[in-house]
Amino acid sequence: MSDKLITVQENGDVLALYDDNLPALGKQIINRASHVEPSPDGNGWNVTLSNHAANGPWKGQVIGRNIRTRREALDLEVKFIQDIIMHDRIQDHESVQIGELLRQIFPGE
Amino acid sequence: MSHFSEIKTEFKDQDSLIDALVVAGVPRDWIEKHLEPQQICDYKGNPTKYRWQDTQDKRFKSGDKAHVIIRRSHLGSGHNDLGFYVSKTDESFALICDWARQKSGYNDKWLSKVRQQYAVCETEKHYARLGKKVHKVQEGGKIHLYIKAA
Repeated sequence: MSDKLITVQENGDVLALYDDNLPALGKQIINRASHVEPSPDGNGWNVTLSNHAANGPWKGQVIGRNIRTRREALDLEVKFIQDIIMHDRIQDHESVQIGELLRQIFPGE
Repeated sequence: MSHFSEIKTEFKDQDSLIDALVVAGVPRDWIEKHLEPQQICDYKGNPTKYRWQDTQDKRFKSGDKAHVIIRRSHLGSGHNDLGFYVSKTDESFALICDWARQKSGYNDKWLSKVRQQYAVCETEKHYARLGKKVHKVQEGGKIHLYIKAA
């Protein structure tokens, strides 16, 4: 399981993946970040990012297909959002293959 | 299955606000803390009325009151008192004149830094109460806070 990441923006506002233990810092807006659903071909699980603006250039994209277990798909989802999206990494997303990116996130897997 | 949580940081705790002001460059002994809000004044010594003028909030008709105050005597000639109304239940807000917010060192950029440091301070205290450590990483203008997974 990944460490929890909370990002404090330059203006003091906060972005995190929701959980029930976040600090009560002010008014909170909660929006869908991603979906983990069974693959239509019955072969594992797919991870798709939502169209929310915080997903930046990755919004609406499938970032994982046919992942063996739901647990692995959920781990991938959190790791991708925290390590890539919340760090503003890879602005030029079209030049990067998602498979290559996943190997960067999960070296040796 | 995840959701983004976007939080608009508000000053709700006086001690964390004071810690944030210190990180943002205000000497701790310049900062007054009051349980009951106190009047703040302009450079001539008259009560300021920013809140009444901006919102017609009747609580402030006779003048602005603040829980955390930096007096103008510390800030140099031409400055009004700077204040923060801090409420756990109502809206909290900064009481800083337009001139200071645009032209002085206590401008909107400085206020953003105070808000950012306040959020960091409150987050660290929150997770300390839960027995968890926070690891802080500055990246450009952002601050990333990592909380160790259980």
